[in-house]
Amino acid sequence: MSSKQDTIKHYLTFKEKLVVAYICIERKILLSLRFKISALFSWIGMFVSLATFFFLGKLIQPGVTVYISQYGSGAYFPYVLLGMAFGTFSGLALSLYLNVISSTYWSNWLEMIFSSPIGFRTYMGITMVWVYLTSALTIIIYFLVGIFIFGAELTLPSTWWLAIIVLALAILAISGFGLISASMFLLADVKGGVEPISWAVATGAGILSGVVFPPEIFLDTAPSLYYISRLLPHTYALDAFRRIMLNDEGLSPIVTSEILKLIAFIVVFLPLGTYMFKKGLEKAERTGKLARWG
Amino acid sequence: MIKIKNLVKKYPVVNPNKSLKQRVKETLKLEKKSLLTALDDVSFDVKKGEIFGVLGPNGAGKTTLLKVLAGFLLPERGTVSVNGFDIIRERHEVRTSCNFLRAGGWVIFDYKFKISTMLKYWGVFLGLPLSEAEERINYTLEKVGLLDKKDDYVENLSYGMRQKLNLARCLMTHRPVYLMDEPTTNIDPYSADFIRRFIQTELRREGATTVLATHNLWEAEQVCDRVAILMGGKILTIGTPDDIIRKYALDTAVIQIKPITDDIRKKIKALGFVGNVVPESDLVMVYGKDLPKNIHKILEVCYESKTKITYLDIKKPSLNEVFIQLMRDKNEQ
Ligand SMILES: Nc1ncnc2c1ncn2[C@@H]1O[C@H](COP(=O)(O)OP(=O)(O)OP(=O)(O)O)[C@@H](O)[C@H]1O
Ligand SMILES: [Mg+2]
Repeated sequence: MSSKQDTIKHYLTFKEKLVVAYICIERKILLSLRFKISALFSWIGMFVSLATFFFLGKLIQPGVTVYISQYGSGAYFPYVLLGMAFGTFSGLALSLYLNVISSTYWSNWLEMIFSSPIGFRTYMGITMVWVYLTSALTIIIYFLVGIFIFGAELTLPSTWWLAIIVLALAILAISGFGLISASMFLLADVKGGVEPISWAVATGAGILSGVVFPPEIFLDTAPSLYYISRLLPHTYALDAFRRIMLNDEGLSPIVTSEILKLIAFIVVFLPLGTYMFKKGLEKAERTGKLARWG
Repeated sequence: MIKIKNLVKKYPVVNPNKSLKQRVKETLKLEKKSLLTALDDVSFDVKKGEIFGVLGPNGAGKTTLLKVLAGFLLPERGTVSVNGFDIIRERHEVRTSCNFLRAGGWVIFDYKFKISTMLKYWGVFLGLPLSEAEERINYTLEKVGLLDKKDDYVENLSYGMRQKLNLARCLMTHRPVYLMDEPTTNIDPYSADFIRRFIQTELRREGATTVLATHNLWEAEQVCDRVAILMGGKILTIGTPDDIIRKYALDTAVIQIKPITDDIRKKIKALGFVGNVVPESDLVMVYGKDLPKNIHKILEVCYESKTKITYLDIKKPSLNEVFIQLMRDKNEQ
């Protein structure tokens, strides 16, 4: 036993981190396998929502064409399909940090993560890679069902890589809000119920940013809502994402301008979110609230 | 190994009746927050390989002290280094130098995982290679006496078993510092004895430095090289259990003297090492320092007074008595 004493590791090599990542992912898979029924229902739910939008699209297509004619043929179903796919990622970017901090706190894993040589940042990174990759997989299935069962007019654009970049930028921009929301758990002791910041952003983005209908709709009836939609990164990202996916646009002037706006959001909110999150952790370390009790 | 100097830790006091105005003022730092001092100017060192006990009543600050040492709690003042690392600047290194056993059934667990699965995850998470983590599962479970529960689910364990599982987690990795918060609370006497012996033998052999918070003073006396008694965040006394006992408590001699007279009692009391002489029915209780060594002087007094001693018993005080006496004195002040 005593010979092993000097093997104490404060940091792990990249290879060792991969082993930890493997273990973390195995754990997540095992945990999710405990909830097989819930997985089944989420697949059913996906199918149901696709069907809903498919038939809704048939109903509203004539009226909606004027508003979304800038995207491809102006068909509603591919439009909303892309909106839903984007919504999955933007929703994750908004909720993941809070989710990780609250689930590790309530299951008492948080202190464990801190006493591990991988540290909090790597743990967060592993979780993010896993969650985004599995979501991407879900989205691909989503698209396949949309295209082959519901006949959505969607083809892979030549500039698909730009779509991925836009998605990545959107995730970074919205992560700023996600981090601010997570810091509320530690800074303002929002340990249960609804976290107001992510709620406001999610609700605002859900209605205003163009996930299921374009914000231009507000221009006639409630222009103020249109201007509020301009305050959300989702609006710009969705526009760029759809232009690339449906019009095969590359770095056109509009797409470029949307990307620049996303970068502006990143520059402002990502450092702010990171700072607040760090402050939150520091507060927890000061007040002894890294763990639930003891 | 552990150096603590002028450590002060304060917690904000949660006052639900605080007005919003007051809260805003406090947040803007216009007004000082009311604080509770959990550790008040604590200084001491723990040597490498030492088993150091932290004693004190509920709320004395024992857990707070351990959390500071583990790098989970930032202090307001003072310098603390653990395993040569500063707890503020090198927090990560401090955290990875310590195996921290939390008090009372405080288990990290995932819904419906087997004990062996949990241990594997903890092991890898704490930096062990996968194969070594798998190898150590049986070893640690055997050490804490949970081997037959290997395939049970964590949520089905009893309170004491959860505490044992906690201990097993601590034993998965080799780290130079063990911080143990009440390791034997809720553990049956047999297993508790086993754990104490484990700390005394295995951890000592590893050369590990151990800080042990406990309410069991007998345990502290048995296991610890040195102890500190904390109260209200202050150190009342620090030293080896023997030194503390000698410093604060007197030995008791229960003597039956026939015939007993006031004169003899006075003569005994006049001896330099005797603190007090109290008659109790047909016995006298003599409180004094180092009685085993000094008892012959009492015998001489009796001999000179031509009385007989028919019964004699000398009792050494325990840390328990010292502790209770110290608390009583403090509370009376
Ligand atoms: N996170 C916290 N926030 C505010 N006050 C706290 C916090 N943790 C502990 N305290 C207070 O600090 C004091 C010391 O608590 P601590 O847990 O260190 O005591 P202890 O000696 O471990 O007690 P016990 O023997 O009951 O475990 C207590 O008055 C407690 O109420
Ligand atoms: Mg305690």
